[in-house]
Amino acid sequence: MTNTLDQRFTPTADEVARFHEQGYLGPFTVYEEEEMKRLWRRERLRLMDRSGAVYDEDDAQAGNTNIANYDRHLDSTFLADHVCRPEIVDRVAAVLGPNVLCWRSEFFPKYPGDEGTDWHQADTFAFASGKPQILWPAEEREFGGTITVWTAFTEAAEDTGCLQFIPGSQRTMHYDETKAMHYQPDKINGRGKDGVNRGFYGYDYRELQKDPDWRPPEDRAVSMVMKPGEAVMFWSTMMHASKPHSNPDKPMRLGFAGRYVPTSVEVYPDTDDVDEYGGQVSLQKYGAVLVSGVDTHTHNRKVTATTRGHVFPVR
Amino acid sequence: MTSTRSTGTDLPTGTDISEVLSTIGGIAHRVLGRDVDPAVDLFDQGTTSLAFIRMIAEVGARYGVTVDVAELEEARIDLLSQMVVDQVVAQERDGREDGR
Repeated sequence: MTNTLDQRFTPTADEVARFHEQGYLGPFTVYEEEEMKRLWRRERLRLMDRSGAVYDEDDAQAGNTNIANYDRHLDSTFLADHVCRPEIVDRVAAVLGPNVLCWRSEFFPKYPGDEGTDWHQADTFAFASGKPQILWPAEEREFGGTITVWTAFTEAAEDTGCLQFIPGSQRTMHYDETKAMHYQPDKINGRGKDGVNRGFYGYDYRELQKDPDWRPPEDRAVSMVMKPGEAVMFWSTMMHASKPHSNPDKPMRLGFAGRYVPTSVEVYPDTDDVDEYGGQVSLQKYGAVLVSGVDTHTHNRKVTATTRGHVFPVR
Repeated sequence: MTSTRSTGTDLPTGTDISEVLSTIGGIAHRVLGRDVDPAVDLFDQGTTSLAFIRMIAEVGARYGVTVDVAELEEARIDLLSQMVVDQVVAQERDGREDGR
C-alpha cells in the first residue's frame, strides 16, 4: 500500500520502506517546542468548554479514563486542524493511500505516580468494547489495525511515561481481541509486571494473550522520547506500551493520538454506542473525518465541519 | 461594597487590580495548598484541571461574574485578575446604563 501523490511532508521511499519494516516512523516535528507549549497553554483552557463536545460525560467516566474525551477534534478548532496537519496527513497517506479518514482521537495523560501502559496490539479495537470498531474490506483484511499518530503535547521522557515500541512486531498478533478482559479499576496503579508497574486503564491486557505463557520480547524495546510538538506514527498492531510516570518533580505527560484508516475501512459497523473502560458514550453525533483525498464509499457516517462550524481542511 | 486603591480613591470591589490579584492569589493558595507565581501558568506549576475548575468557581462566586476560561490565553492569576476586573467594570457600566 503506497501513495503516489507527493506532498510537502511525504516521506521518502526509504522512509516508507522502513515504516513497513519497523512498524513506526519518527519522531518528527509537527510544532516547534515553544509553539506547542504556547498552544497547549491556551487550548487546554478552551477544551474545558465541553458545550460542543459530541459525547456526554454522564456515563462516560470511570476509573482513570473518561471516554467522553474521545474525538474532541469534532468540536475543537485546534484539534480539528491538528488531525489534518500536513506534517501528519502526508505521512499517513504515504502508507494508507490518498483517501484517508481520521476516525478517532484520544488524549493519553499520565500524571506523576501513574502506572505504565501494558504491552498491547490493537487490530479491530474490539478488545475493550467487545465489538470491532474498525473493519477492513475482505480483500485487504491482512492489513488490519489503524495508523496512530501520537503527538507529545508535553514532554514524553523516560521518567514521565514515554511510549515504548517493539520494532517489527506488527505482523503477528499475540493477542486475541475477541477474548474478554475484565474491568478492575481497583487494580489501577497497583500491579507490577516483570518489575514494572503497568496496567491497561483498569484492564490487564495479558488476559487477551493467545498463549498465556508468552512474554513480550522487552529486550528489543525502544523508547520514544519526545519533546513537546514531536509526533510518531505507528501501526496499532505493533507491540507498544508506555513507561510509568515515575518523576514526582515533573509535570504530567500528555499525548494526543489521532487514528487513521483508508476510506475503504468500515468504522463502528452496526454500532450505536461505545461501551468500554467502564464508560459508555452514544455515537449519535459522531462522524469520521476525511483528511485526505476523496471518499467514494457510503458505509461510514462522516462530518465535514466541527460542531462549531469549523471546516476540516482536507489534504 | 468598596475597596481602596493606594491612591485613596474608593472603588467598587473587583475593579482594583491589586486587590483582585491579592484576593485571587489567596483563593489559589487555599485551593492548591501552596503559593503560586501569579505570572506563571498554573498548570506549569502543577495545578490539576480539577483544582483549577474549583478555583475558577470560587473566583466567580466571589465577584459575581461568570469566568469564561476559554477567553484566557493562559491559566495565569494576573490574566485571570484582569479578566475579572474587566467583567466587573463592564457589569457596573451596563447596570448604570440600565438605570438611566
